[in-house]
Amino acid sequence: MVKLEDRRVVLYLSDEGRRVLRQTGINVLDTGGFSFDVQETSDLGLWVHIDYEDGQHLILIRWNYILAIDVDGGEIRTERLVH
Amino acid sequence: MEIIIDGWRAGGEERREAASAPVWQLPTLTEEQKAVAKKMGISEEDYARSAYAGRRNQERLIEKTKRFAAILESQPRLKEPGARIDRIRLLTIEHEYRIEIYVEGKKVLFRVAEEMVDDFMEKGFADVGQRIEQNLETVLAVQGVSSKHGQA
Repeated sequence: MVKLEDRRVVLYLSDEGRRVLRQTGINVLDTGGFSFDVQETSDLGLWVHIDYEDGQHLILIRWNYILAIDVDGGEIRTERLVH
Repeated sequence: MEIIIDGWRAGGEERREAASAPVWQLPTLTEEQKAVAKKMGISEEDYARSAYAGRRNQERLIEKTKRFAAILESQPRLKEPGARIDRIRLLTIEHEYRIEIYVEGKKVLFRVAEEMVDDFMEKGFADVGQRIEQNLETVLAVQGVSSKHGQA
């Protein structure tokens, strides 16, 4: 099962989701995705980090505003142990 | 033994480290990564900081996995002649360890939730350590490897 905690994701939001995000003070363009660091997932939506002037805030983006999620999986690192 | 960290994450600690890292410490992006940064709508420096945080996270996961490997290797079943752990792969997106073990000439796949490993190694829940050991015994028995007492 995919777990999104502590991952950087790109969210593609509905028009209503973009409008709501603008209300939080985030500069949201009309097209394209938005990159966020996920703190936690819940039944309601994704808790993401937002940097404001006074420090970091957490914002809940509800699932019903999210149309698609692009997850940056990261690189594969291999290490061989010799015994 | 091979340890594979498949993917990366970046918690608060790694993000803070990445945010304060000087630019010269950040990884140089490939052309593909630059294209992805553009697609993600972030600057190349932001992407490089994200990759820096991810690599720092992988270093921690490698160390954690080495400690877990040492604990697994100390299990009596895996100290028997011919028994060995070939590979431990951590799927970071699923928070799950997949361990390839050879016992009595058979390859056995043993899966452990990363949360169990954390509960045991970082929170000190001894009962979780016992559950991991019991789960290993069950997996070996189900996959046809006889127990140390000679029972299948």
